[in-house]
Amino acid sequence: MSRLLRVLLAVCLLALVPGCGTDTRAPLVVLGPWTGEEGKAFEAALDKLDDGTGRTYTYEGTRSLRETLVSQLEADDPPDVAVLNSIGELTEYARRDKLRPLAEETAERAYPPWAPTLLVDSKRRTYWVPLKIDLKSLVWSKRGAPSDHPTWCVGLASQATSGWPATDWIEDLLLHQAGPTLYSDWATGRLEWRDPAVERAWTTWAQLLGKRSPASVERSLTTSFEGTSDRRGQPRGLLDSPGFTCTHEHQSAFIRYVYAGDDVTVEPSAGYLHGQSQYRDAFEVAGDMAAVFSDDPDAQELVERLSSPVGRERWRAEADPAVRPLFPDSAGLSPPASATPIERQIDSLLTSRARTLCFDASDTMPPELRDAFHRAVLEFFREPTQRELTSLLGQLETVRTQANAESGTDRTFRPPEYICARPGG
Amino acid sequence: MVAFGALGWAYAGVRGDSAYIRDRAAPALVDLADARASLLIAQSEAERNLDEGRAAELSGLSERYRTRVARATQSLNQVTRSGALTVAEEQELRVVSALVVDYTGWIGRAQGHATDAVLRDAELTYARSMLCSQTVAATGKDPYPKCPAATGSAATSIVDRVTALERRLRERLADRAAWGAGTITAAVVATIALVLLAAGLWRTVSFLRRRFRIRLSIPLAAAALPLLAVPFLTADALLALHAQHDAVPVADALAERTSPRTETVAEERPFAGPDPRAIETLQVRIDADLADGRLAFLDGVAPFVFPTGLAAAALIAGALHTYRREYLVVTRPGAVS
Repeated sequence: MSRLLRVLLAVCLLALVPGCGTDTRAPLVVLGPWTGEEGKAFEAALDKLDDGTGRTYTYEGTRSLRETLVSQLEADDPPDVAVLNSIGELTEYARRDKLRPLAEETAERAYPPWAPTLLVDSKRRTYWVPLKIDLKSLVWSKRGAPSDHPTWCVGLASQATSGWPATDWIEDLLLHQAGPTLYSDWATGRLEWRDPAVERAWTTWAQLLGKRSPASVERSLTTSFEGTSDRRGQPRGLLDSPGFTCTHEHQSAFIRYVYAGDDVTVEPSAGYLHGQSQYRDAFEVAGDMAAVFSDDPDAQELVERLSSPVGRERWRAEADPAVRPLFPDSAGLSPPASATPIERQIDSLLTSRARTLCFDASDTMPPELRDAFHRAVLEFFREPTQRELTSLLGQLETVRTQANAESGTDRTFRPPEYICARPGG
Repeated sequence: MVAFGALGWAYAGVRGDSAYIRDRAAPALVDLADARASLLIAQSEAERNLDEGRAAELSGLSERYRTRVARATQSLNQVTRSGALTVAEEQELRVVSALVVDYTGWIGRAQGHATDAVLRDAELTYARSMLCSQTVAATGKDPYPKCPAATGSAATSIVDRVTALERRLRERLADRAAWGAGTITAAVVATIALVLLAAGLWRTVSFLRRRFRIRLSIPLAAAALPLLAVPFLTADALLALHAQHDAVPVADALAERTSPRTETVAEERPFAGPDPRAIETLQVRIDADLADGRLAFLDGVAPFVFPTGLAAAALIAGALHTYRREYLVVTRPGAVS
């Protein structure tokens, strides 16, 4: 009896002693670019990820990715995993030894052009893999809208990254007018901004948009790329936004979420860009790439799981059809049965029609040059004159020269040199 | 041991809750309210300054804009250091700080285009969209535009995120201020065990007096001494709980009733008497409530309650063991009684 009493007492005391609870591990921190419905779908997939490590995850999504990451790195408190859409930024972090090389199994998923070869410390290493991709060279229009004289919808506001919808225009024009090689040279800082091919892309853009009233310019500058919001706060899309009397929109595949249920069509942008026929099957693409910033082995494990076929399936299952992700090297991963005709068409363009995929040029540039490019297109859109263009290209050239000078002194480091590839490598 | 273990656990819990609210949650809520109000004031100042066009090129943005942005940055840094946030919330706060950097970048761009109304207004729009998801225009009566916070997946702006952080901190504060099931159970167990301990000691002392003719057992008296602290610990815990309950509505007021207008008025009329809705007034109130909510001489006592109980238990066990051996000797057949 007394022994039983002693055992009971010991149990009571143990229960009372603080700190005897289970040892909970801090969650793995994931930083990424997705907010809204996209962010929700990713978080749901993350929550359901059974990676066998017993870890939980916390995801934070923002469009101010660069500032967030810079402040975290300065505070010596980086996220375990960050998902970035800028190869330029990732390259900079790799050069500064902020990234951890990926494990071998994960590195095999470094599909080009999303993960170009990088030489760091005289060694070829893989630092990131694409998780989700996007097809950019697309034009959206209302079904039945005549395509011989399109009037273009432009919405350039996007919080910290305002201006990017216009840089996509310039990049797509350059790709289709000058071809992948020149495009790559320009994106990787080896072509002058004053080059006639670059200048032609800008002037073609101004011609395509045509003469615009001051009110229209102001509206485009201040309206989000998602268009105005309806009474429920949901974006309407530029094609459906009041005040926009336009028929066509140059936008990436992701914009389909604002037109879900609408009668819209999508087609390759090549036919509208005054480009060369040999480059008609070249497409600009973007991507969200995962990189590991911490030494925690679970972070490597997480990237491996996220980029695996199982991880993709789970993510796709969690996502609403309108924000269902596209994946790199999607051979063998056909669209789900519930895919909309638009989804099937985009998938077909990516897997069958495209002959060359080129990564988003502004997202390949060093961050300071990319940001300057974003601002320059806003100013050119405001005043599309030759004088303004000459001045802007001169300024951008100065930024390019400075950026090259900063990164060009290290002989053990070589940034990406070619950012185009055939689908599937 | 059970009595003091349970008492120590409950008391440390209440004291810990008070310390968390006083040193972490309340200052973090004050700083978040300050950051939110400061940025809304800064936005209004920037719009007013830049509306003046060319004059803004020379004069730049007002002193109030600069101090308010600096103050917001400082407040956010203090929240990071407060220790009140979880890992996920710290990440969210870092995003807020990054948004503030981008926000001021766009304001700077707008200043650079002060004479170009179209670009200037566009850049002000970008800055505003980072501050507020949905802005309701300012009125003549209140120069500060309303900035209702969005929730759910649409909550991406600075104000949305700060409001979400405030909401989670307030929920946690309310949870810590409430009587938790663990605390109630421990308090009940401690009360029952302490009563049993007191009764047991009393009966033992009576027995010793009757059978051993010992009027005062020194070790048992020493073991009973910690019982004298129980009323003080109880009073201290009740005071702390009362202060915690008082802090809840002040925390709500910090998040819901403060406004840029009140802050500007408080700043402009420092001698007009405290406005009950001003952040500084609420900060003084919550600090005073929480500072008064304890018996200061008991600070630092909580960790010693359980060890004291252990020592008392050891003392009692030793004394009883000695008395038992003595008792067995005197009650053995043939012994002289």
